Amino acid sequence: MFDINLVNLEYNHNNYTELYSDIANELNELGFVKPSFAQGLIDREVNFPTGLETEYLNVALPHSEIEFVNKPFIYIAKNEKELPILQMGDNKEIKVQYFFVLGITEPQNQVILLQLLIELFQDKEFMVSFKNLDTNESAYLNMVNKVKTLEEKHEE
Amino acid sequence: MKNNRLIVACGSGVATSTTIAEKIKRMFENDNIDFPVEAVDYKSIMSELNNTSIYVYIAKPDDDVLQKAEELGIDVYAGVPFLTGMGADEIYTDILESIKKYKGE
Repeated sequence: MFDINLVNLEYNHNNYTELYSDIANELNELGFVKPSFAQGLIDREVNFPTGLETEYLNVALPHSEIEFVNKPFIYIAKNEKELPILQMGDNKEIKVQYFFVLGITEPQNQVILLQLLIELFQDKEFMVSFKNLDTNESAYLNMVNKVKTLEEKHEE
Repeated sequence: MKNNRLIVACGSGVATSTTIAEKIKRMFENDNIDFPVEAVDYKSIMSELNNTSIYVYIAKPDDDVLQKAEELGIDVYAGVPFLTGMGADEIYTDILESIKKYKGE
């Protein structure tokens, strides 16, 4: 589900609507989503916010209903500025710089990867190192290696 | 017992509610607790509440939803701590207390 083409740490948008539209366009060009994905993401964020304040880093998990997604993916994006976004569960405003956009087609089968992602959010070493990565390649490799380690741990 | 079920509800029943439901299921398994857990879509929450005893919310519940939960005597808990890890243990302990109550232990 991770792909080096699906990492971009160099966004510089002023609000999440612009950012989501930009990411959705890229995903559409790569064939991962339908053109309506942007609207799907934005509608979802308005109705059911996806921000999360974790112990080490604030993140958002934008996603849409499954009908807008062609094939599953996780897209990692960083915006230069922190963007105001509402938190899941309590709709409190938080500032987020890191976005993990989820493309979900089969919730029951893909839930394992999400669980890994959530484990990552609770892993201090990973979260702190993630903040200091400055190239798309290093962020991608860091993520893939960590997920591999976690998967191996689960198989034991 | 007709209402013995824990539901986890998020905006679409797609991503986060399924993840949290699986996490709670695993915690129950580890603690040898036999209690059904299901992920549901917030859009159908009003009807889902009718046969539920514990409601874990990911999407912020509207006032009418909370009111109905109260009328039905459903215990309501925040699910986001299971995603962030912050405060999850306390909520899990409270959920276990609710289960004891529903099972009449």
